[in-house]
Order: sequence, then structure tokens, then C-alpha cells
Amino acid sequence: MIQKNSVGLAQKVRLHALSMIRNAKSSHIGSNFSIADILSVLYGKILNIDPKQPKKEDRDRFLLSKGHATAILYAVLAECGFFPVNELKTFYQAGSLFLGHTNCKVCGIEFSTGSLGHALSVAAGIALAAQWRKKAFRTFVLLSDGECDEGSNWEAILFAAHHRLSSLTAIVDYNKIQSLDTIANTLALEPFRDKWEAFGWEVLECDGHNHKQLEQCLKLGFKNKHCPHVLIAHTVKGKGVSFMENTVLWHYRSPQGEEYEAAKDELGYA
Amino acid sequence: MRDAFIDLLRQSALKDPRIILITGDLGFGVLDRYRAELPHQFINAGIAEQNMTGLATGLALEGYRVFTYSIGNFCSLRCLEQIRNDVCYHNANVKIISIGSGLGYGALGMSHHATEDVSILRALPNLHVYSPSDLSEVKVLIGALMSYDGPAYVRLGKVALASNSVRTVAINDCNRWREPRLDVSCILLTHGTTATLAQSVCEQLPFNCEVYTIPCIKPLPDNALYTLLKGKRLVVTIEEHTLLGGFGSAIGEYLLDKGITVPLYRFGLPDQFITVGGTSDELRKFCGLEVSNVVATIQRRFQQ
Repeated sequence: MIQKNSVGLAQKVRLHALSMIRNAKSSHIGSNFSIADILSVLYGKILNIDPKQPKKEDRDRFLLSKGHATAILYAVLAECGFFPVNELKTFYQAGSLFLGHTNCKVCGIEFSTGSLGHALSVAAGIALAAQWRKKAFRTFVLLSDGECDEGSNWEAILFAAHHRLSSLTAIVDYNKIQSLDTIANTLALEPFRDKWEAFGWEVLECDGHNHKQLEQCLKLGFKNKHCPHVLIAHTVKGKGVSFMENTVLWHYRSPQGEEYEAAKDELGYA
Repeated sequence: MRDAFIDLLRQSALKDPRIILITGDLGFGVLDRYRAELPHQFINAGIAEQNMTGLATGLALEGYRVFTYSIGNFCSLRCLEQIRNDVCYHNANVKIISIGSGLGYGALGMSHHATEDVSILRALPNLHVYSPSDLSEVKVLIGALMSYDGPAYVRLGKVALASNSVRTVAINDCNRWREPRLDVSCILLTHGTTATLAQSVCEQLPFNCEVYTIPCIKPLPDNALYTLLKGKRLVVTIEEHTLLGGFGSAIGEYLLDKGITVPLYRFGLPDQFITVGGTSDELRKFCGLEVSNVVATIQRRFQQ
């Protein structure tokens, strides 16, 4: 297990993601910042992983289903020692493995995503394999809230509960904003907790930027050993940069020029 | 074909606990013995093919050899993106078994006609595409699937074909359907359910023809095809599949790429949905896939 100061890690990876997305002139910074704390707690405190043995059999598995927020995952992996930090500079570059959506060719990435609604089913398959083989590892999958529009997720939610996949933990980054508008104005998810519970999952909710709460929920929070688990993490899209927070605009807008400098100032120099 | 395949799969699964069969809630009466003998190597994923395919990928990434099973387009087109992104990109050991190829489900209508699957699936990187014509090819196919750890799509006819147990076949070859003939100038190539139709055509043509079945549509048997087709006067393809991008197109691409100059006549299904009822045979005839039409068309075009 990697023991890291998750708060410090979150600050570092937000700065990395900011530079990566600025240099690539790419999008999704709001989605990246939204999950910076979740990923930092997962990799810093929760996951049983070893960057020296990235494929060791008993490792915990983590799948990023919202693959568009991959810059910050690459940054976390770099800071955790899976590859040198300076490789992050190749994000989006010709010939680079650091694609704009999560790429399993990068050391430490379990599964490639990009099209939404895929990873939960795959994670269910991994968790089923663990159940059959009586393996102790856990499987985590991080979904976006907008992604829960995809019907394939609900097929997987049915399946995981039916097969009592208790080693499976889904985390939903519930920032309440999707690509073009709010969740409420697009396809309302509420009552969101009730939906998961009705499908047979144990549900916890927390502040997705409170590291203590995240750690408590993900480490020992779930009590039911006969069903899959979901943590609904209430987050703020663009968290960490005031003018990006809670805006639809910063799903796609790329931070350039003065906006980049202002964002960097707010995040602080790590 | 279907029953033979599942029985051979059952026999393999009895010896290899890594083999898992997942059905999308189909296979009534067909999967019973497998399920009874191998309850721990069987999952009914419900009517949820996207999840079935993602789930299969997850199991495969953990070392299982997974077979997904459904009829027609349900395990192929319904979950095409899961096949592409999850199975193929990750080179996962998932074999997709589609039953009732072509017009196998006849009067059940277009939802059950698997008539574009070869075109679509052979375009996916890493995916092998198989379409056996008889039990002998099913047997070698099972062996090939067990010795290959990557993704594959298998297109199976619903009903048994005429027994042709005497021939020797290989999975990566062009397999002659009947006895060899002398001075062959015309080759009929086919796959899946149309081998007997091709043989009947062959017997009525006024050329020295031979029929070959090709159970592996992707990758095509490169060297064997070259040897077979080079220097021939005419090549004909027959398939129960749309003419747009299917096996016939693959053979056309092959001839172009290899610089083999020979007329190619392709027979298959027209670029339209079938909106009327009928048995599989009746619908084939409705689409022009009958002996007299194919023979007459070849003769007319050959004389031009």
C-alpha cells in the first residue's frame, strides 16, 4: 500500500492536470478537479497496490469509468511512482501513450475507457472472478454522475447485486453538472440514493472533497458483506479554482493565458 | 451446428475450469446439459448484452476463457461498442457465439436476421471471425478457439448441415467440399450455411468447378487462397449475408491486394431488409440465393 499525504497529493495533481490540460489545449478540467480528492485518498490511503509490481495478483483493482478525467489519474500514478513525473508532459502528444482518455497501455492503468457506461460491467466481471477464487482484493470503479444516464450501468448494477459482489465498490462523482447543463435539467438522477438502494446496493454518501470522510467511508464504512457498495461522493465540479467551480463552462473550456495563471495562483505552487 | 458446438464446448469445459459460458438468457433446451454438468462455469447474465460483454471482459482479464452466447445480433450489434472497446482493445479472451446466422430465424423477422455481422465485425481490430460450414469445421474451430487467447466472433447456423465427415479440414485453410476434379477453372468460395447450395451450383455449371469452404473469414488463409485462386478463370463467392462488406467483399479485397486478375462474381443478400415471412429456405430464394438463379447469373455474366 502507498502511504501518502492525500491532501498534499491532491494539490500536486491538480497543478499537474492544470498544466497538462493547458499544454494540450484540451478539455474536462472541471471533471478532473472534481475527482482530485477521491483519487488522492484512494491511491494515498486505500488501494493495496505497489508501483514496483503493478500487476501483482492480489492488488486492488481501480477502473476510471469517466475516462475523460484521465489527466489527473495519470498525475496521481506519476506521483505514486508508477512512471516518472516528467512523462506527464507528453499528454496528448504525437506518439505518446498518455491519451486524452484513460489508456491501459500506461503503467498502472487497469482498463481503457472513454466511452461512458463501460467500466462498471468490467469491474463486475473482475469482482466475480475474485468471488469465485476467494481472493481478498477489492475492485473500485469511479463513475461520473452524468454517466449514470447510460443504461448499460443499470444492467451492471442489477447484475452486481444479484451476484452479491461485495468486493465491488462504485464511487460516483456527484458534482451535479454534465456536459451541456446540470444533471437536474438533463436527466434527473434524484432520488439517486434510493435508486441504488432499490437495486440492492449498500449506499454511503460523503463530501467528496473531505479526505477524512472519504477515507472512513472507503476503508471501513461499508458494513453489508452480501452486496456491492456505492459511495455517492458529493463534489464540486472544478473544485479548487473559484472561477471554475460549479460551472458548465469549465467542462469543455481549456485554461489558457491569464486564466491559467489565475488558476495556478489559486491552487498554489506545490 | 449449434448443438454440436455447445456439446464440444461442454467437453472442453469439463477439462478446463477456466472456460465460462455466459448466455444472454437464450439457449432454451440447447444449454441444458452444459448447465447441469457445469453449473459453476455457467452464467445467465439476463437480457443485458452490454453488461454480458463487459462482464466477460472483466472475467477474461482475470484469466478466464469466456464464451458469450446469444442469437443473431443480440450478442454482436447490440453490444458492438463493448466488443470493440472492451474486448478487442484489451485483446481479451472472449469468444462471441452468435446463433442463427443469416436468415436462420426466417419468419421471425429482420430483428432476428444476422445479415450484416460479418461486414461489421471483421472491421474490428484483433477480432477473428469464424463461420464453419459443417461438423468437421466445428471440430477444428473448437480446437482453434481453445489454443488462441484473443477475441473471436463465431457465426453458427441454427440447424445441422448435411453430414460431410469424410473431408479433411483445417481452420486456416480453404477446405474442399467434395472430391477433387481435374483441370479446375472456376472456384466457388463459401462459408457457413451455403456450402450445399454452392455444391449444387457447382454441379450444374458447364465448367470444371470446385467448392471450397473458408471457416476463418478473418484472418483469411493467405497462402492457401493465393495458391487456390491464382490462374483461375472465374471466382464465385456465395454467402447468406449482405453483399456490402461481407465475405465476398473480403475476397475481392484479397484479389486486389494480391494483384490476382480474375473475374469475381459475388452472391449474397441484397442491401435491403426482408419485410416478408417465410422459412429460411424460402427467404433465401426470395433473395435470389437459389441454385437456378445463381447458375443462370454466372452463365450470363460469363458469356458477356
